[in-house]
Amino acid sequence: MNREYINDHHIVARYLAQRLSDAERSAFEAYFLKHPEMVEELEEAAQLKAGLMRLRDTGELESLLKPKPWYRQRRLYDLRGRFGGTLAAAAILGVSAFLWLNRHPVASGQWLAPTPASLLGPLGRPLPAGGTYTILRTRGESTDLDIELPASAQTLALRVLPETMAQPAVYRVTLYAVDGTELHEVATVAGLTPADDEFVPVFLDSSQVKQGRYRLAIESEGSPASRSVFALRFSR
Amino acid sequence: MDLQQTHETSVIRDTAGDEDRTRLDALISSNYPGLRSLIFRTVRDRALAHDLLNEAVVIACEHYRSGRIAQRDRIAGYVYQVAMNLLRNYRRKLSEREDRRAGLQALELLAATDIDYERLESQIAARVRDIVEDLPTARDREIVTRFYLDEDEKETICLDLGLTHLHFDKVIHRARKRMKSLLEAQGFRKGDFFAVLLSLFG
Repeated sequence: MNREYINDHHIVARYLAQRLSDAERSAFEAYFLKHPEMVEELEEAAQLKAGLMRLRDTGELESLLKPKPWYRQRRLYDLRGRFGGTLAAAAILGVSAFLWLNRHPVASGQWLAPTPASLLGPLGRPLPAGGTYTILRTRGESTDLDIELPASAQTLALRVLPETMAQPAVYRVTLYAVDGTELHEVATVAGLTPADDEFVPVFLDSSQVKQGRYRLAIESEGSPASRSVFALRFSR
Repeated sequence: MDLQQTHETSVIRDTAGDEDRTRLDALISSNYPGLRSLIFRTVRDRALAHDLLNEAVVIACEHYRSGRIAQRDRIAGYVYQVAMNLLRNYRRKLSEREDRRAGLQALELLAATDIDYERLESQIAARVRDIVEDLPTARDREIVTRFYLDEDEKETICLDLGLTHLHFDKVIHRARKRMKSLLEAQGFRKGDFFAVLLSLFG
């Protein structure tokens, strides 16, 4: 065993987790006895593990794992410390520009809509059309659809195939953000009807979506048991 | 190796007086806080965790004195090796005796009654909180948690989260690097631990 193998195979953490084979364990123990500096890495990893255990036991870990709103992210705090005055000035300018741009009544903040015309940009105009994505069950895949988000706000057309055809054929689509093992509802739209090919069209404002995992559920409004759920992943 | 004391180590332990034992405890706390805390969080029995680590140090010293460990700077690694063996044996036995595992309530009660231990664990938790908060995305935080806490394998995590191995390695490297720099900033180094330790046992 050598240094490269230890790094590449995350041997230190797996040793502490007692997940090495007998041969790997013996080889690693022989290595760190010969290389005392490795003990510091063992201690660092042990503290990382023990600290996480403690945070879990005290209930802090759950909140640490939740996505943070942009204004609470550590990098912004760091910037604020260094460039506090500049950031404040930039924020005032930004708010002023936003208010000026929004002299006209505008939408929207809306994630999902039954028609593309319902999704509006900052000037109250419909968003430009983006890609069209077909969502249907793909067995054996952990994610049913990967969607690359455009750089600017666009309307993404989603075509969703329900697994159960309902009568009457009126559907509700709900989008959930995946947060660890929890789902948080972020948008829902009702009264959707399928096209001739049985796919249900629904439209999404790309600017509302963050990178990450989501679940999209479709169900008949009269029959919640008909619900189908699809795994989506958005990336940039 | 077993948790049962051997005759040899009993003799060594008996030669250390209360004052020496106190010094030994302090040395273990200051030089092996991670190992100590990890063992405690695993066995969930403070007295047992304490005995187990103490035993590992005593055995390492004995082996050094008897010549089984040729160089003094290898003792630190030897302590880790012995402690992990003792822990592995303990886990094996525990699977046969569920009644020995203390519940979370008992664990927190112990934490509340041992101020020194509580302080040590709080410091470790504060470092780890800082590391987790510093990771830029919820997914990166999930990677670190699943790898170090849930002990999931890299392949499983990558498959579940749709990650490349390269991204996984970057996130883990970042967390490790951050822990290293935090410890270095607080002056954590093995130092002359073993010189002092050996003086305890002659």
